[in-house]
Amino acid sequence: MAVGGYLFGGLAMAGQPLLGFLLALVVTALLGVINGVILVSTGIPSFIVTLGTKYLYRGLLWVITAGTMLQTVDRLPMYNVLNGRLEFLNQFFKQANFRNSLIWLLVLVIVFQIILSRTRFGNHVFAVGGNAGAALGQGVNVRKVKILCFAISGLMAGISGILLFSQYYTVRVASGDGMDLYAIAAAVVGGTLITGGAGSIWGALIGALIISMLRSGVVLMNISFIPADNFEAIVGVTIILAAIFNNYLRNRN
Amino acid sequence: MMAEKKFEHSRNSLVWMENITKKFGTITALQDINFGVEKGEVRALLGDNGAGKSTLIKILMGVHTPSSGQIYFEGKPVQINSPKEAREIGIEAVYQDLALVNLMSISRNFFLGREMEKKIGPIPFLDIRNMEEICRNSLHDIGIEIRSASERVGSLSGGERQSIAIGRGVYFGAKVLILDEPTSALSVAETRKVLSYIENARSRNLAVIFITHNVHHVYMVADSYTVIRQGCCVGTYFKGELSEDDIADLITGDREC
Repeated sequence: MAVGGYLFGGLAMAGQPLLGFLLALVVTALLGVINGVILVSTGIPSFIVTLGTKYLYRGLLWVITAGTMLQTVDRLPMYNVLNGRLEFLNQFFKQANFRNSLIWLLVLVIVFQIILSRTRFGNHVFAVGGNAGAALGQGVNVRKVKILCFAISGLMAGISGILLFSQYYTVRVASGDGMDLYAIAAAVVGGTLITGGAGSIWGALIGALIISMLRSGVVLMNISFIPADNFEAIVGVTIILAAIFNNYLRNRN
Repeated sequence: MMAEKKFEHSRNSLVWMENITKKFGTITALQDINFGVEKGEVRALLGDNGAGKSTLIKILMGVHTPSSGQIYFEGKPVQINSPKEAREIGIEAVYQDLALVNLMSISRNFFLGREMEKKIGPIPFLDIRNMEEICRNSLHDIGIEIRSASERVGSLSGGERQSIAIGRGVYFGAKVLILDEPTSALSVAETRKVLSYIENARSRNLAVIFITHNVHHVYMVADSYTVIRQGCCVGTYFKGELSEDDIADLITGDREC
């Protein structure tokens, strides 16, 4: 996410927003590919691979950028296109701040839900997650599927970095730190099996909404013993309850 | 030792594995094994755990390459380098746990790796309705009834899962069906059902290799029996030559041939 933000932000400030946009997508996808290659060539668990490279990539970014944060006062039209205010929605709500990223979100959710449930690649993703041995036995290229999944994951992190910069005009080395666990939490709350083989993009969207609503809700309700900084505790309870509930639903059908 | 029975095995058989030896480092897993199967034959491959049954089959499936020896398929020498290549020439294996993805539907499992697609504009999408229909019909053709092709495989019984994997092999034109312990975890009634599917496959002129360590599961259905013990071929026998108990003794080594 931070890599995407720096590449896009840096090149945009140098007067090359479009190049920055494309390069940010390519580089983050490539970092995902590296994750995937490490995974399939070593066979260590994917969680460990990404945990390791997450620190590694951030460390490299720190070295390359010397730890300085990027900030701009320019209001490039590209920022507005990517993540400007959605006035036609905002006018209906007082103090609303809907942004274009909502549109990108909905587009990506629909595209990836279709890919997952209605294409050969999606079928192979479920098969590899559910029983990699059976998938291999039926001629599925398990390595390719895994590497592609990691590339997509990297690409999405890159897009989020670009959107973040477009909204706040700033990026730090630590930008997006901790979001990874929220992403996992959103997927689990939305019914994704952490052991693989089941889940949906719709579900992850709903999971992300639940967690975000809890964050805002907890802050707004101003509960004395749950300060705003402590909303993680609520997320923790939500994850466990959601996992229990999902388990119950799954066993029932 | 070879009797004058129905199936003579030679280089002209559908599958013939000649003098197969496999060494893992200094350990000899298989020593000069001859093994074959003919169209319309059910061949039992018997041996105790660790005797080398799986190694032999993995060589046929292209998972391992033999240290020495030659495989003939339809009379021609072949080299099989991967399960994919094995499948392309018509050798299909049904492994016990590695056959199906439990979290996926029957039809998605049936067509896994060979999905049907239809194009909407330039983009190929899965043709789910067609796949479900073909899946249900082709399973029906070999006597397997399913409630719904969109049902998840995980909710089926062990016998039903085996039958779907067998039906898949038959539908996709397999010439050789390799079944690895297909009945070992099944109830008596389910075992009987799975055996009936195997007989159905035989009547369609498929060659079936039935791997098991339990002679009782295979005695009724097999046309011939090959027993291996500690990597060596003990012998090949035809239906009616030996009793169940004789074969069981050969597997354990209580009886020498």
